[in-house]
Amino acid sequence: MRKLVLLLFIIFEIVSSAYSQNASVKGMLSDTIGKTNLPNAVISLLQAKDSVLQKYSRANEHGDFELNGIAKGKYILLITYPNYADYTDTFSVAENSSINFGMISMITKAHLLQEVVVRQSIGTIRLKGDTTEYKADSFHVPANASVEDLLKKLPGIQVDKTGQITAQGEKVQKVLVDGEEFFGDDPTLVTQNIRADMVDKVQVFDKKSDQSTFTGIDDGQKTKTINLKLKDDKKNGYFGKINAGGGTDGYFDNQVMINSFKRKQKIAAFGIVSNTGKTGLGWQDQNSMGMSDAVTGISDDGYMYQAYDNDDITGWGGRYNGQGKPLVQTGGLHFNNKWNDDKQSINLNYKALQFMVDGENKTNTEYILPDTLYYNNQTQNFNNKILRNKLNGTYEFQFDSTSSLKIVTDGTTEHKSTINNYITEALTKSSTIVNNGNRNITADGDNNSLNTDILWRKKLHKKGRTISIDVKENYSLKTSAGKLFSKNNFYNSDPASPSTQITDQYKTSNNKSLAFDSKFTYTEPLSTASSLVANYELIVNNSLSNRSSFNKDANGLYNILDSTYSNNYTFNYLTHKTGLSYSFISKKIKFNIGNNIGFTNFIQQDNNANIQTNRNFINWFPQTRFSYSFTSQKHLYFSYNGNTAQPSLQQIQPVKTNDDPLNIVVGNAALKPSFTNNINLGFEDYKTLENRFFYASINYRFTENAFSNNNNVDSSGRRVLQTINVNGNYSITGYLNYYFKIKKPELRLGFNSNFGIDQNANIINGLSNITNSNNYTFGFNVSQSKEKKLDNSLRADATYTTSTSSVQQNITTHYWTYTIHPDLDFYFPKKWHLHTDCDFIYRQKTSAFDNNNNVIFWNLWFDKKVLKNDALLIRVSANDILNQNKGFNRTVNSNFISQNTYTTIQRYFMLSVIWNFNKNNPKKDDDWRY
Amino acid sequence: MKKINCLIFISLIIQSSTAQNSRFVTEGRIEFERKINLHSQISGDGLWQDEYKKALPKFQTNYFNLLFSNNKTLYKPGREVAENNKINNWWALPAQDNIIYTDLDKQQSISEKNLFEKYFLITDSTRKISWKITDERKTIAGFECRRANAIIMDSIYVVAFYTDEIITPGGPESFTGLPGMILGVALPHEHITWFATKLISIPVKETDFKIPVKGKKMNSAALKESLKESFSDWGKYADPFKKAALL
Repeated sequence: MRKLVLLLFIIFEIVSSAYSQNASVKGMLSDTIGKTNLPNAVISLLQAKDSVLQKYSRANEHGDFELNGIAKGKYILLITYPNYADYTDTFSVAENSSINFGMISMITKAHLLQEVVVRQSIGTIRLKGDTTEYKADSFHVPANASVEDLLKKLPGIQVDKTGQITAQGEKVQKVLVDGEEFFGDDPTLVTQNIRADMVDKVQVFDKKSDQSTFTGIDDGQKTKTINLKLKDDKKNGYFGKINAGGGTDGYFDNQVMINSFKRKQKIAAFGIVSNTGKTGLGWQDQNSMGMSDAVTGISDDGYMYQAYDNDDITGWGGRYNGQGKPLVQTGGLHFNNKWNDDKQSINLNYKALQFMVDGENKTNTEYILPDTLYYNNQTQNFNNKILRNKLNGTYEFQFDSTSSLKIVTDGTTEHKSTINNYITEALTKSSTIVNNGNRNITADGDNNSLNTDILWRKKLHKKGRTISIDVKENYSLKTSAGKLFSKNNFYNSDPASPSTQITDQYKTSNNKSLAFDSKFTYTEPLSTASSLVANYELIVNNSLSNRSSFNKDANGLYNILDSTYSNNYTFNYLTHKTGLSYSFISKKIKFNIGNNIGFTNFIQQDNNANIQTNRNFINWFPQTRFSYSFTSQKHLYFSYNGNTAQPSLQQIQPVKTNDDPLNIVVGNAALKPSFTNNINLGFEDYKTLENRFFYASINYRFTENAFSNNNNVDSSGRRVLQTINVNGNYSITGYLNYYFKIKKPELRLGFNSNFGIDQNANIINGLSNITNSNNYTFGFNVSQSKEKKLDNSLRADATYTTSTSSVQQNITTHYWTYTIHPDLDFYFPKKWHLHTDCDFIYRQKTSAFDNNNNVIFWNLWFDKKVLKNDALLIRVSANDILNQNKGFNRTVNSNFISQNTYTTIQRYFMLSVIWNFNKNNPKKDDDWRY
Repeated sequence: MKKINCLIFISLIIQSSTAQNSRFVTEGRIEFERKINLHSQISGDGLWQDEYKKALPKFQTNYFNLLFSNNKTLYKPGREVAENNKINNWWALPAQDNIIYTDLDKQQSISEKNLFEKYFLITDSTRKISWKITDERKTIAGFECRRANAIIMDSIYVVAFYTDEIITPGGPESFTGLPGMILGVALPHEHITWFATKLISIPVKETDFKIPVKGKKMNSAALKESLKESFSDWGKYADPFKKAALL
């Protein structure tokens, strides 16, 4: 009702005001000299107080004009005609009045360009090639002066009263601000304005036409241009975060992060001491601090990628993967700076980490053998520690618009100490004991690595023609030494008196590798849409592995070399790789096809036996990619690539490894490179306005000469395994996702489904075995979000897993896994916030794994923001309220089916205080759109 | 190249004829060059954003043609720029290839807008813009233009340059309402500009105005309501989308 009244009122107002807008203005135009009438002259009526255009008209063929329906008020009459001076008059209009201006005489433009007399002042002027550059600060202007005021002060530059700028006697056509055209803001309409004191340099030059910039051919067309280079961010400041958290059962989580910036220079530092599983900064903090463990880049398709370096060594990688109870102490420093107009930049990071973790890991394995079945149970107690120092840096130099250099380098030192205790037993199908024992490995290791990547790129004269040279170096030295003590009892010959095997050895390992990879790439444009890329790559990889095992001598000293488990081996390979690829890019089609051929030479040398083997391989690297965009939101894509993988030195070194005497690993010097074919087909359709998304993809990969295992399990339950090349391995995976939004109630719903079909071949006791393992997942999710009120979601999925090995087709493994995950956030008045999430996990038992692994893992926290700008957050949280969390993993893709459960962080309660502080922070991290 | 020379020649003829005889143009075709600063659209600051700026060119250029005759104009995408196919812009805004027919006598326009591949046909009255006329001049495509400033949609600052030598009071996109043809528009804070590159003097027939027909029919207010519904749970991330769609 109120709305209706308002509407009626508005209508009445419009109507009544329309009634009062009935004054009129008329007149006639003529040229004083030519005495001609001026048809089509524009007669504009502007509001006197702010020059806002109210009405306009054009004069008729006799030069007469008339404007009707004018409201009372004060106006400016503006009459314009090409090449004539503007006529302006200020006048008032009364209601219902009619004003006749009579004959108005227009005058042709007199040449009256009033030049402003420039007062010469001493300032810094530089000549850089064709460019005259003025240092803005050296010319004095009053506070809050406009850019025009500054320009008036510059010698050689004049600004007339209409704002027209003349430089070096020529009219300035364009004024740019950091390369973008500058118009000068109307201070009565906008508050933001470029002030003179924000300008760093004023550059005056002749801009070539876009055509000549594009072709590189000077067509002689130039426009006088002024570029205002703004000062780098005027503000200096800092921002940071302190998080202090203390909990029950000795849990704590403390973090400090500070980031200070001064123009383009940034210095940041962080420190974390935590035993709740946090090992480094979160993604968002890494992004805002400019420090990351990963190499961040943009792919040709425009997708962001992050590549993490993988410096794991055999055994324990030195990272937290959820196994055990961790204690992390880490800190880092970051520095970056840009200078020389951002042409040069440097980014340096240093990180130190001390990480300790201990826990228990239980593994139950079902050995499916051609004639029998074993159950293997193992309990591992681990206590590991690592100290890592890492320094990395990136330097970039954009020499000019055509060439650039980028150098990325990192160096790492690591010291690891590991203590592992194992208790094992093997049982037959009928639960009688085959073997049991315990094993103790204590080792210390040092890893050092240095990697460098130098990339030089140059755009050549023809648009699209480029060359680049990329040289990579990787050096690593890994040494370790430790003791192995193992005692195993075997009951297969006589259960009453088992035979015992004791291994008591001191082991050293020395692993050195140096690789250089140099790649030369040349791109030739064939047309605006297509291009050809040629490349040549030389890869040199030299590695040496020296492994020694020593038995005790009579004095109890480890002095006797055990040659069975010792070897000194060199593996060098050299690859020449060259190829061509063609790519075509249009609005709808993106297509790329190419092939590389690689000539690889292996030199393998057993340095103790002095046997050298020389092998040659030809490797192919075919690839094609095709994508079709039906619209910008609906795509179909297909890709194929064939990839060669070289065997690792660990796989190829012909030595027996008895780190676990029940699972002896033997190297295979005859290993060939493997070749994997990878085919992808996908379709996606995103409807933004309907909030609907559909995605489907299928991937098929099959491998020739895949790396697999040849296993020999004897009647005492001992296994000897060796990496071999097999054929017939493949995997097919498929994904289907469909999300949509319903309006009432406002909910987002999603369905997802995926499957995996795997075939893995291996050899077991001389018989070839094929294991087929499949999994099928169906999932559903629903979510609802109301800004500043709630953010809730529920996810549920069911997975069915099967596995059959051809050596015993009658034994099949199959089970269901169900997960339900509600995740709820409620935002209450006075900045209270409640979060709770829970994992209900049901893992079906199988004949081999009949223990209960069902878990309800429930977390909850409450927080409140206080102080100005919500600077302080106080949080009370409860992790794993029901104390049921359990590390869990099942592997079914070979005839060795295993289930793994391990210690993980369980219930604790914590009180945390998080303080966010900042001064002049120019950015808000949550502004990021994706 | 020959073609370009020829066009320059034509526009020089037009220039000289208008300069000497004050001949007024009532029909023809104007080519507009739209430039968008892609880097300014990347919000936030950090490692990823820095990498994106390196991968994206700073400016994206597109061309549009404005066909006009007396009081009718038709604005639509012009020649394609092959370079743009290589740009992978995650921040791409909707409604970047509008077709707009405007009847300036009736103050009506029909716009075909592609919003995330869904087409809308918006029939509404032309936008009422309170233009502030200034004394500043600029020569665009050989025409002397006068600058006018305005604020539209509550917050978008517009700088326009119009010439009284072209009688049709039209302009690119939805910008009209000045006493002559708008040959340049800049949204300085949105980092977008439209500038005429040339005027091609050709006779224009009534039948040349192919009124857009594709898309769901509605008016601006309904479109605004529909966008509000679509982006109801997007928060502030949808603001740039909404702004671009309604411009």
